[in-house]
Amino acid sequence: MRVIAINQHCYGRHLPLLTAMFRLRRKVFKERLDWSVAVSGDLELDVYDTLTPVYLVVVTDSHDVIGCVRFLPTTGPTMLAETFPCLLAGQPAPQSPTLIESSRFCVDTDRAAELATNGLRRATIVLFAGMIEWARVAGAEAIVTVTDLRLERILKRAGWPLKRIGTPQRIGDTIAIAGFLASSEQALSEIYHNGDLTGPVLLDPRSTLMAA
Amino acid sequence: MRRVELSFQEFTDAIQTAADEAALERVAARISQRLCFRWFAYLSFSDGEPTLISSYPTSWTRRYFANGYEQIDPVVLRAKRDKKLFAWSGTEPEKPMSRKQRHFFDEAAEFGIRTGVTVPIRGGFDRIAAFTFATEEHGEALDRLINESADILQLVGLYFHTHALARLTQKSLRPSPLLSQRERQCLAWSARGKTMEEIANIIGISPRTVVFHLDNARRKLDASSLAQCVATATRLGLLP
Repeated sequence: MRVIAINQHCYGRHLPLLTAMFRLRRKVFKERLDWSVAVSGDLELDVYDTLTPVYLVVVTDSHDVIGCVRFLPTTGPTMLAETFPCLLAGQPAPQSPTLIESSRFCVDTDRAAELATNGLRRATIVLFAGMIEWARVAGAEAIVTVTDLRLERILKRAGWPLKRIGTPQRIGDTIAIAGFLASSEQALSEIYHNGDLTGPVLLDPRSTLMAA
Repeated sequence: MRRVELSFQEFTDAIQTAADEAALERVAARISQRLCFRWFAYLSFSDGEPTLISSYPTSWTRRYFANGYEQIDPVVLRAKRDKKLFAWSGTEPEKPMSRKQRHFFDEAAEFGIRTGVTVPIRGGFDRIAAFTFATEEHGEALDRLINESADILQLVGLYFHTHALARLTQKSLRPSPLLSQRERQCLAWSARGKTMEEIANIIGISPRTVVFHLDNARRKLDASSLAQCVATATRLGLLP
């Protein structure tokens, strides 16, 4: 199991992974949250996908995509600022060159059966580790995210607690919450330790910062 | 990279620098041709009102709306009903057509529009849209493309829809119109250390045209060298 970062310059090279990711997102987010997403057949995209995000995908040894997340810089439009300002409790949306926003975090629970020692899915832990690794490569000091109480509990169990901004709010069928996730060396070693990971999970991170 | 993957890369590079409807149209026309289709047509309905961006002859699109064909067009009706991508042919329809519909396909055929593939889209904000790749002849090459590349056709349609929505309806997500789409595309690659030759290869235009776009960008940003131009464009946040 590996994590691959896909930036705008390798969307073409990773076309099959990209398509598999949009397919997984459709499967996971379909009918879960009534967001203004666009779907076609079994794929899902939303307006934030037009902002050339970096995607991380969890790929199995048999090349299946079983997890993904999307990163956007907070210096441009973000989901928290544009779509969920209600979660900010009146504060301005956090913006900084050293802060990135993650969204569309998901793991394919049907195919990611393997569990890590703490009872969480291994793919979940691997993706958490990949997120911190990538944030560090990208020079981000923290990740800001909109998530729900269920994932907040999973983050806590993985040893990567969310530092809340504001209070949880009901949005559609979910209780949403915004917060910060540390991308410190300490946070990373905590995840490695709790997930029984021996080292980096992100494949060739330097190459994702350079041109295709 | 395979040809189709290169085409997709060029498409995603180009579409995110497309600032207006005309630029979106050029980008979609290019990817359609690279995928061996003569035309594309993106028809979107919001509150029942149609919006069209297409590379069809304007004499055809004018006639289409003047006659209210969007209400009887079997391709549009099917796109509103179906969720999956489908191939269609005016000469071999999937089900019996009314006389009006037969007449409609006959007229389309006069413009050479005989067959194609349509990607139905359920958009955000209650929109329904269809992205159609169309061409003159149904042949084995088309069947093969649909079998092997259905994913990319679907992704192109969905990407186009999402970008059109973001550009044309959401002001905050619009890029700056100061530089043209091609100018920003060439500059963006130049900023990543590509030579003129390499950029020409990546985008699929001649090196001379690359020089032309870069010169224009340089003039617009009042830069005396390409390096200065890239620096200015980056500082102004014009590059992806």
